Amino acid sequence: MTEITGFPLKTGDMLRYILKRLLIAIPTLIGITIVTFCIIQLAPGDPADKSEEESVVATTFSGQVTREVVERTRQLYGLDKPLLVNTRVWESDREEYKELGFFGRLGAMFTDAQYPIWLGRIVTWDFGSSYQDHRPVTDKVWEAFKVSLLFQVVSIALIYLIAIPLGVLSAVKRGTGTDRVISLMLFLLYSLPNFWVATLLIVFLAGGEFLDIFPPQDLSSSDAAAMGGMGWFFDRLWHMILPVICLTYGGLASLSRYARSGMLEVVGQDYILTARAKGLSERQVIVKHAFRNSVLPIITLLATLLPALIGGSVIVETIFNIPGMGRLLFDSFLARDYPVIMAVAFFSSGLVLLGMILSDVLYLLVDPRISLE
Amino acid sequence: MTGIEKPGLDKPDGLSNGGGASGRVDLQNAGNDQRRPTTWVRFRGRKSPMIGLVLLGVLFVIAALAPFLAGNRPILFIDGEGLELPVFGAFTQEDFFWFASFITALLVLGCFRLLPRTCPNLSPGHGRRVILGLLGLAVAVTMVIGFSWPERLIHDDFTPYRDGGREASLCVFPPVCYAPTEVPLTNTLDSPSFSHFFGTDRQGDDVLSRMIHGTRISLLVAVTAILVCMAIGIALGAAAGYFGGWIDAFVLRLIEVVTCFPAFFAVLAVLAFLPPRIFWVMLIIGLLRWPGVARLTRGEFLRLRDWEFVTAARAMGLSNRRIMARHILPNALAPVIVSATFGMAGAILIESGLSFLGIGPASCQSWGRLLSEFRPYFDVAWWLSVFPGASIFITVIALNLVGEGLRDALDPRLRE
Repeated sequence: MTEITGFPLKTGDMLRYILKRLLIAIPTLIGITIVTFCIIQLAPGDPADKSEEESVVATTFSGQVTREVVERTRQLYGLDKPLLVNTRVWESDREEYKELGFFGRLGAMFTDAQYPIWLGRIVTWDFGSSYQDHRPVTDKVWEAFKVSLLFQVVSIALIYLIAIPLGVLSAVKRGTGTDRVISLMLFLLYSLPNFWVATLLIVFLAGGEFLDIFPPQDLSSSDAAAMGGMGWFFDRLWHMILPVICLTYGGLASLSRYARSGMLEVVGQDYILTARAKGLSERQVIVKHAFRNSVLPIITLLATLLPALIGGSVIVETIFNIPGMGRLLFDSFLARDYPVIMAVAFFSSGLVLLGMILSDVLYLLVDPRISLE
Repeated sequence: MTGIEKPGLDKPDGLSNGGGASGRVDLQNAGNDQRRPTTWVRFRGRKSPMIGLVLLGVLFVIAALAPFLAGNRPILFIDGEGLELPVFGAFTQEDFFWFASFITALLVLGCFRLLPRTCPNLSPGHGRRVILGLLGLAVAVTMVIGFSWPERLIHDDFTPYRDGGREASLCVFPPVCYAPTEVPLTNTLDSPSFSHFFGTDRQGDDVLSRMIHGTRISLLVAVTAILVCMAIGIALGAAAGYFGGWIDAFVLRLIEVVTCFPAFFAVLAVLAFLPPRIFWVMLIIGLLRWPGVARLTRGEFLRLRDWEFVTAARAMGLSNRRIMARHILPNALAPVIVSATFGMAGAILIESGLSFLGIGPASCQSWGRLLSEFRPYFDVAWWLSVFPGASIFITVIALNLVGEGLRDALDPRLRE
């Protein structure tokens, strides 16, 4: 952190740094998927059990048949194998490992278990298909991701567009009534539970006994397809307003406070005094000298916003019935749909990791004082 | 505000976490002792953190004295057969522990106020030891009584006295004279009125009464989650910052793994195979929120490990553990305590969010659970959505106010 390198950074150094970070992210991602894998398998009940209930109804009343069905389903999905390490290879009475020698068994011990098999499939981009509707997992995740992405992009853009001017204004007017009012408002916003905001918005603005301005649920109206281009667009916009409010205000509050303290710090620097001494107008001092420097660290806060947005969206998506990533994860867990859970965990944590790397790279780009070491 | 501390019961500056009335101001000694004002004095000097502290105190009192504030058993009951205290008669083990903690808190606060006055010659160490001794004794006595507390089944019903069916010479009911789960099935979904301040729910139960009894969960969640979170975060962060190298790299990876992991998901999975107890939810929240504390502690340890006092300690031949615990940690604790306060607010938000989604034990009537239970009736009964949520909001505000006050008081660098 202390070493001062020349600016601009050499492209080769930067590429090497990014590559290094990406390589470090791989073990992290593997760690996350292992934890997820173990946790979902620890929970009782598996997809085979779920189909047992159905098959009890469907087939005869003898328990023999259903147990057979369960076993076959388990074998089909590979759920009968151990989770991480297959120690069964050393048992001498197992048919399937008889022909293997010592090294063959050693190899099988680490490859013939559920997680290694899953990992091997992921490397070839094969996420399998959903247990529920047998559609490819990648399709399901991609659909949900598009919806979530729309909301994330809109709310992140709104957060930055509102928070930075608000924070700067509050810092410039420091100590005045404006500053106090903004600070108080932001403090209150910061403390609001988002599921409560969502329910209040629905109760008071969307149906119920009070105003009925916004739709309380879903992504678009049931007859949206018939509305044509503009109609469809405005209908979607109308549906997005309440959820976007819920996704935005929390990040908005924290970011504005960062913007304010960053600005205050910059305003106290010597070069601002110099700018004032040169006789620049206050407007020029703030906009040209102070603002640009204070806004840099805020860009990197994107990384801290990302996990909160992805995690927080579970609640918002559930309340507003939006088919995004959070809802998909929630529903898949309730149905014990392992391939979908794993894929969502893989993609969302991968995205968060990418966001972290991105923000570090941005930080390097905007602040030449920080060295790559 | 320049307060001069009395050589009495104060913790060294920068360590006092603003609890109780430590840091008394003594004007007689002013002038000859020019030490910096204590954290408590700095904390007390501002209005908003004090509002937060008072709010938290009120919440604690509500939680501790819930049976006296809301219930269908009278506090005092006199008729022909004599005097009765039905609330105490129906005390559960949980009620008892909360009541005992309330009494203990009063005693400790009283000691901090009274000891310096009654025994002015007590040295700081002595005074603290006396209070700690009393506290230990109180906890021991509480434990012994609490765990042998008889769980009685109470059959006598006092509701006829409340509803006017029967008369007694004197019958003092709690201010909210309805039990949280009476299920009367009359007066369902009544809007707020003088008999039911916050209205009634689907079963005709009083919403305020249910909220009062739900206060305990939120406070317990905040405290337990943050204790777990601080224990793990400080240990790992300290090791990472102090030793560096592969330990640091490993802890950093671990932090990334946990940060990327969605909280609700872990709780959902863990609750599926553990008995549904709110304790597990608190534990998981703690287990998922330590990265923030760890990152802060690591940063402070990295900053402090090359300072001269650490080198001096090392030159004295002290063990690594002792240097970390006794020399670096006290200097690194300020930002951690501040983040812990904010973390408590975060823990409450997570718990209520999870409960709102219906994840977690159904038996535990937290505010989030109430909201989740009331959700189908939000359209017709606005009070069901407003009041439980507002209580979560107020608790979070109180914790955030105290957190900000602590930050300003503990870390003068951050003060404006």
